[in-house]
Amino acid sequence: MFIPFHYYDPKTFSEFLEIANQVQNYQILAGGTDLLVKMRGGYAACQNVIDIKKIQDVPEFQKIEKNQDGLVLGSLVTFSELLDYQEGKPFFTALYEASKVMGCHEIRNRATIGGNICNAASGAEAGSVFLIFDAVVHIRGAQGTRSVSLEELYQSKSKAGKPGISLQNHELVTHFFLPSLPEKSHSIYLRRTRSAGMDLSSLNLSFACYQEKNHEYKYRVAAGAIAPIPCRFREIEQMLSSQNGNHSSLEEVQKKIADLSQPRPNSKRASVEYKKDQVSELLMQAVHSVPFFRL
Amino acid sequence: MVYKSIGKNLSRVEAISKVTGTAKYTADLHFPRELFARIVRSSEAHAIIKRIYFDEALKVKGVRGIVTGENSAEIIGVCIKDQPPLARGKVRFIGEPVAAVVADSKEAALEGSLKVKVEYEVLPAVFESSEAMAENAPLIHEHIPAMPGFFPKQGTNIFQHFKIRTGEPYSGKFQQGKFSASAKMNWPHLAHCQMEPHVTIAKWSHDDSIEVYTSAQSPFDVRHFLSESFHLPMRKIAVTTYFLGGGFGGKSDVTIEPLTVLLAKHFKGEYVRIQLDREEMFFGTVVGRGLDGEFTVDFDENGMIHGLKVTYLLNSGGYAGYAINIVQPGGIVTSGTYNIPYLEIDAYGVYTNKPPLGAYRAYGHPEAALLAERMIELVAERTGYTSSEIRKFNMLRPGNKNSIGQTVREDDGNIFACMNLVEEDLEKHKFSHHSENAHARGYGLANFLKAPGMPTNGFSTAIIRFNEDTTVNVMISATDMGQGLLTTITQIAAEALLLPVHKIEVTSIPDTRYTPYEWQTVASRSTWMVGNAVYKAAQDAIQKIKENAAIAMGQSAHDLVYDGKKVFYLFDKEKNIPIEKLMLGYTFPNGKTSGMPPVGYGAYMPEMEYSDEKTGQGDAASQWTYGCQGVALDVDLSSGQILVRMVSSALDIGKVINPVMAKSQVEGAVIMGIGGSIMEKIQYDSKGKIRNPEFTDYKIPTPEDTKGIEMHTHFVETFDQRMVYGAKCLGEHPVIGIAPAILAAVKDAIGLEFNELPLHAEVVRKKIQENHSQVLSHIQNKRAKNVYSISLL
Repeated sequence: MFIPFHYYDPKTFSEFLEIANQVQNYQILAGGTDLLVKMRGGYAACQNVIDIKKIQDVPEFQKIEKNQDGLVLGSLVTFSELLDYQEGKPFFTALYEASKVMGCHEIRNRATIGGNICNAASGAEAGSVFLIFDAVVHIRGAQGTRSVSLEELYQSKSKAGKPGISLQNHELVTHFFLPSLPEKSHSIYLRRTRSAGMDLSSLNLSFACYQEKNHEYKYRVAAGAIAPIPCRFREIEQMLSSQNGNHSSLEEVQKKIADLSQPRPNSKRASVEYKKDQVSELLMQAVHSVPFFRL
Repeated sequence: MVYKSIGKNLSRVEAISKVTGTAKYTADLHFPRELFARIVRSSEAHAIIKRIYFDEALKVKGVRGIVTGENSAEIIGVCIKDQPPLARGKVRFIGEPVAAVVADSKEAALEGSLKVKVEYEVLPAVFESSEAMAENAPLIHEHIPAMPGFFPKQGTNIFQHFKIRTGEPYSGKFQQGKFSASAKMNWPHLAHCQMEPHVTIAKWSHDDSIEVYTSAQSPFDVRHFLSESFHLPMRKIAVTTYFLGGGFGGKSDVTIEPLTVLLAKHFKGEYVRIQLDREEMFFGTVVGRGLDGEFTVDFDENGMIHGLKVTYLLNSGGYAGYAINIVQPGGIVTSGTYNIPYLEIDAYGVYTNKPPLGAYRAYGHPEAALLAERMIELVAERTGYTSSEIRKFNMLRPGNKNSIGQTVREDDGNIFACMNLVEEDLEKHKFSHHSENAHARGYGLANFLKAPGMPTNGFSTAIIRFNEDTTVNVMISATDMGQGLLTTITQIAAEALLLPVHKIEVTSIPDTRYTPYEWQTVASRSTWMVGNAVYKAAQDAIQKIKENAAIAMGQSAHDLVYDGKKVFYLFDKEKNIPIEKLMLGYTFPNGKTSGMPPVGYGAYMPEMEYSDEKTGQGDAASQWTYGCQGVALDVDLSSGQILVRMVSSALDIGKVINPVMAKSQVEGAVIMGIGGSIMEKIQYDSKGKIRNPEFTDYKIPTPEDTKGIEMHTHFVETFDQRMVYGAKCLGEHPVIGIAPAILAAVKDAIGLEFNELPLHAEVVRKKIQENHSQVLSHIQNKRAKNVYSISLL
C-alpha cells in the first residue's frame, strides 16, 4: 500500500538544493530498494521524494576507480556495477564478498552503495565492510564540499537523536574513498542469515588483517546488526594485535566482542543472546581464515 | 492392465498459456467502472467497537461510501456460523475487517481508509490455547453457533471437542504398565504464502442476482455460503473461478467473497473489487498449523505399544468457521500408522485472539504425525530397540482396526514397502556421504497416513460432451491451482473414452451456472473422486453413442462395442460405423435423423458416516494413503543451522496417473515441509499483532536453500479398489512426514529433543550450548560405534 507522495527529479545540484529548500522534509531516492519497501509498508511517512539519479553535474556520483591510494566509489554506483569492476577485488575482498550477497540480482542492479550506507541500516552489507576499510565520506552541500570518516558519521546523532547518518542543510554524499591496505593483506566478510537465498543479515562481521613493515600484525574488525549502527571494534583489534599472530587462546577475545556488542532487543531476525554468541563465532571463523596462520 | 494415457508423462495441458502469460487469473479481469474497496482492519486483538468516525474519509475525492458491520446482518462460517464479514460490536483479532471504504479508484479507497478512525474499548485478550482454555479466561464468543455433528462447550472458548475412546487399557488401567513416556509438541502459526493474493470481484444486479469472480478453490462452496448468508436462491448466484496461483487450503471454503458481495449489495449494479496486498494475506485470510499437543504412551519391554493418551489443541484464532473441521482429522491420526489397542484422544478447537486458522496443506495431519512419530522415538529410546523396529512391531496391518474402528484393507496401502524404500535410501546415503567439519550428521524417518476430510455428501460430478468433430469437452468444477488437475483429468478422460489426449479439453473456468457440482477442490481428493466421476460420465456418453449406433445399425446397443474410433457389432467387426457419424444423433441417407448428441453425466461419492460423539468411531474416512519420509541432515554446531542434505519420500498412491507431475508434487511438498519445520513462523507481538507479515521476515525456502538437497521419490502402486484406475490421493501428503523426520534426524545427530518448531538456528544453537557435554559425548559415542562418519572440531 502506497500513500500518495510528490516526486521530484532535479537535473542539477542547484536544482536539487532549490527543491530541498522548498519542501524541507523529503526522502532521497537513489536506488530506492530500501525506500520503496519502507514506503509500501507505510513505515516512512514521506510526502516528498527527491530522485537524485538524474543530477547531471556531479560526476563523482557515478565514479568507480581503483588508483594507487585506494578505491573511489561514487554513491550512485550500484552493487552490480561494483561487482563488475574487477580491479578492486584483490585489494578489497571483503567488500566484494559482501556485495555479492547483498539482496538478489534484481536488487543489486538497482541498489546503490550510497543508498546502502545512508540508509544506515545496522545490518547493511556495505556498513561493516566500509568500516574496516576506513572509508571516507565525501559530502557536498550548499556551502561546498567536506569529507568525514564513515565511523565518525555513523556515530553522529541524527535529528531524532538516534545514531545514524546525519547530514546537514540538504547535503548529499557524492562518493566514498577507501584507502588501500598494505600488500599481503587479507579481508573477509561473514554473516548469518535465516535463508541461504536472499536475506538480510541477522548479523555480519567484516575482518581484515595485514602485516606491518615491522612484522607486527594489524587487525580491523567491524560488525553489523549487533548494535543500532555498524560498529568498529578497536579494542578487539588491539587484543588480537597484542597476541601477535599467536592465536592459541581466542576465548578472551571472543568473550570480549560478545560483551561489547549491544544488539537491540526484539529483533525479528535473531535474539540478543544469539547475536552475541554468533558475533564471537564469526570472529573466530574470520581469524582462522587468515592464510598466513595456516602456513 | 495396459493403459494408453494414464501412467504417461503428459505435459501440463495449460503449460503454453501459463508460460506465455496468457493464462487468465481472476486479477486479470477488469470490468467497466469497477469500484475498489479497501478494508479498515482492527488494531486491537479483543475490543468493543465504541464508535467509527468516517466523516473525513467520506470527504476524500472518489470515495463513494463506507460500509461497517452495523449495516449488515450476514454471518458466515462453514460448520460454525460465528463470523460477520465486517466486525459487529466487537473485534476478535488484529486485522479483522471493521469497515470497508469503497471508491472509484484504489488510491481514493486507500486514502479514505487511512482517514477512518475507530474508537475501541479494549478487552483482555488471550493468545495461547492453554490460556484460552483456562477457567475464567476472557470469553471470545458468548455463544458458539456450531452445526449438528460438532461438539462445542458453551460458555468456554472450546468450540469443538473430538474424542476417541477405544479398547481397554493394558493391565486394566492406563499407565499401569512398566513403561510409559510423555512429550509435548508445539507448532506455531504458519502462512500459506500462495504466489497469487486473494481477489474477488462481485456485482449485485438490480434483479437480485449476483456475479462473483474469485480466486477460490471451490466455486460451489462459495455459492453455498453466499446463498445462505444473503438468503438468495442458488440459481441467482454465479460464481466463476479462473486459474489459481496456489491454494494450499488458504482459498478453500470462503474467505473474502462474502465481504465483497456485501459491499456489492450496497452498490447495486456496479462491480466491486477487493484485492489483498501481500501483507493482508497474513492477517486477512487464514493462517495454518497452531498445534499444542501432549501425549502419554504405554508400552512394554518388547516395544509393543498398548495405549496412547493425547491432548491436541488447535489454536484457531478469533473465528472457527474453517478451523472446526480440522480438529477431527487431526485427532483421528494422532496414533499414526500404528495399531494401538487403547486410545484416549481429546482434540480441541480453541478460540484465541489471533487471526483465524484455516485449512493448510494436509489439514491437521502433519501436526498429528509430529506426536505419533515422537511417540515411536520415545518407545525406541526406552526399550533399546531401533525406532525402525518399533515402527514395524506396532504397524497397522490389514485386518487390524484403525483409530476409528475401520478394518484396515490391503488396498489402503503398503506402508512396509514405503518404509523399506526410504530406509534403503538412508542406508546408501550413510555410506556414501561424509559430513564436513563441525557438522553433526543425523538420519531420521517418519511414517504417515492421511484420509480426505470431507462431509458425507461431498460429491464430485462431471459432464462429458462430444462435439461434432469427435473432440470432447469435459466439464468439471474442480479447480487447477497449480497441482495439475486439468492434466490428470485429461489423461483419465482420454483413457475412459479410448481417445487420444489431444481430443480432450477440460474446463479450466468452472462456473456455477454451467459446470456441474463439485463440493470443493481440497483434501487431495480430486484425482480420485473427480476421476471416478469423469469415468462414469465417460461411460454414460459412450452409452449415448452406442444408442445412436444402435439406431443406425439396427442392432441392440448391448451388442455394440465402442473403441474410440467406431462402434462395431460384437459378433461381426465388419459391421461398424465411425463415431463421427454419431455426434449429432444419426442421420440416415434420406436425411431423417434419430438419436441425440452424446452427453454423459457421472457422479461419485464414497460411503461415509458421522463419527460417534463419545467414541469417535465410524466410517468417517473414505480413503487412505500411506507413506514414509526420511531425511539426512547436518547440524552446524557453531551456528545451530540445520542443513538438509537428502530427503527420501515413498508413498503408496496406487496407480500413478502422471509420474513426472506426481514427483514434482512430492518435491514441492517436501520443500514446503522443510520451510515449516526449520524456517517459517508467524511472529506475534505481545498485543497479538503479526510482526512479520511480509517476505523480508517471514522466510520460506528459496532455490538457494533447496538446490543442495538430494531428493529421492518413490511410488508404491497398490491398486486402490475405490478408484476405477486404482489411484489414491497425493497432493497434501508429502508435507506430513518432513517435520517429524527432521526432529528424529536432529535427535540422531546431536542427541537432543526439541518440542517446538520451527528449528531455527538459534533455537538449536541455544540447546547445544546448554547441553554442550551431552552433545559432545553423544557425537563421540556415535563415532566410537563407528555408526557413520562424524567429524567434530
